Amino acid sequence: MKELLLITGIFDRLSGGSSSEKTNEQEEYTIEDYQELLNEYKDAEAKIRINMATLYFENENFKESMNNLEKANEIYTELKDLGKKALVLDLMGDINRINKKNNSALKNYRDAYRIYSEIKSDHKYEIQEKIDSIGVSVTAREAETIYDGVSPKRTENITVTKPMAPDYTKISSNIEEVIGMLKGADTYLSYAKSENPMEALENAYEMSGEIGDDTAKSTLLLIMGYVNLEKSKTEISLKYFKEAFENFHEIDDKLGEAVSSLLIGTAYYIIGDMDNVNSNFRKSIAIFRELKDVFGEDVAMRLMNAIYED
Amino acid sequence: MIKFIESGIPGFNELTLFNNNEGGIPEKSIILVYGPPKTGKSIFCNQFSYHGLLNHEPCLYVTTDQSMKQLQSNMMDFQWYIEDYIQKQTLYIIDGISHLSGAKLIETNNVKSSSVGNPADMMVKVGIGSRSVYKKSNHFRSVLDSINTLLAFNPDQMVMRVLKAYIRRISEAGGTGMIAYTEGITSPETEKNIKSLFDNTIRLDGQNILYESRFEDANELNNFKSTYSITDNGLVVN
Repeated sequence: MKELLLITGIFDRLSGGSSSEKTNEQEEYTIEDYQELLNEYKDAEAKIRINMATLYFENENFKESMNNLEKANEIYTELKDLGKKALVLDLMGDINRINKKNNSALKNYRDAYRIYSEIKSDHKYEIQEKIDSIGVSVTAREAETIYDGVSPKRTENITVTKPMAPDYTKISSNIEEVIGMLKGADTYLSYAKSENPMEALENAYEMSGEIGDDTAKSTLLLIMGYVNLEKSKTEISLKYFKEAFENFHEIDDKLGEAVSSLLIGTAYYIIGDMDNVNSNFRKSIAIFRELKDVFGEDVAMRLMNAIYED
Repeated sequence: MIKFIESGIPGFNELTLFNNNEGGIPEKSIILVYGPPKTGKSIFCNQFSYHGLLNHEPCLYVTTDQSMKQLQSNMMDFQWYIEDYIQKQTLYIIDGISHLSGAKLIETNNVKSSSVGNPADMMVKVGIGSRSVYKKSNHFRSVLDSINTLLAFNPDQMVMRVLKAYIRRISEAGGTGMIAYTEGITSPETEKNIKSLFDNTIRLDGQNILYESRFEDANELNNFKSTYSITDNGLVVN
């Protein structure tokens, strides 16, 4: 109703018709005036779209609801109205979450949080609760990004819930990609696909020891751990991964440490020990950043995302 | 009593006659064939392996300087056609160099790809390969041509261990082997250590061939020296 009155009033002004607010002088409009009018139209449209989105949502037409919110978001972006943009993002996050699209919801909430932080709005705390309640574990780096300006104490309590155990087949290619970052790993991964993988790997492990190839030895330990992970022998795989980490640490192979930490974290995730998941994933990302290994970081993030995917 | 096998190089057996009037390559020994670049070391090794194939002795060939395709081509230059032996699986090839150039090698039961940068894998395949050729005959030959690329890609100490592992595997399986090495590509100390691994060495300098042999029950070194030339049919000792 308010929007209709506004529009009516604007037309009155343009037509030059009588109005109790009209001045006696002939008004002249500048470009800026028309731009302001245009922005008012756009703002009105955005508000109407939000109302439409609400009605669509109530009728469970989520697709149309999102379409209207996306258009409202575009308008507020154009108008540089950050507060309203964040509100729309919050609403989009809610709809995605109801539709169990947690990754999309998380992205919406993160964007909203970022904006609310920027404009110093207390709404960011509501968004914070929503992010936490989705139950996604984040790395220190992401926490830094998301919780900009929030005290470190708060970031320690990021992960509160245990997500569901991953479907191993979905993450196996990611694990291979992670291990594949190590020298010679591609060749040794082929042993894992042989008829007697553990026998082949142990044979190669023995040979590596014989020729003093410590990097190969450690890589083979990771792959032996991977083979055991495939067989759901998670505790055994964890032992291999930890031994690999110790070996890599002894030979000062940082990349090996980073890869091992990722796999240790993965094993803990399957076991359900979330504290150790987070600490190992954080350690891994920190090492990749120390090495300025953007590719490695990217591969690590893909594994983590695959683990937490719906 | 030491037994010998035919070298396949004309004039070599006659050059290396021992007290028992036998000459050639001591059976079940591993020989270092070394010398400056481009003196015929690979030709010597190829000739040795081909002669064995002709006499129904299977061969395990580890090539690290040339791809399998190049090996086939180079052997053909001397009319040594190995395709048939590959088909019959009496020639077992481990190609350690194609992988580096990104070339895809089609692996079969007796053609395997490895990498000089991955010596552990290479030695695993040597183990598997030596068992495979041993099953065909306990009189088999083996060639590793050459150490050069291994030294380029790996620390010297590791290469030394690789050589020891290779020598041990071939010896344990009862094979007779040759390893090629180009002088001067590594430090004098490493070179000295490499030579110390072998009781039998052959040096080719482009003109002269020097064969030094030390047996377990002999304190002195036996030296055999002559000249040689490279012909259309391979190396010939004069």
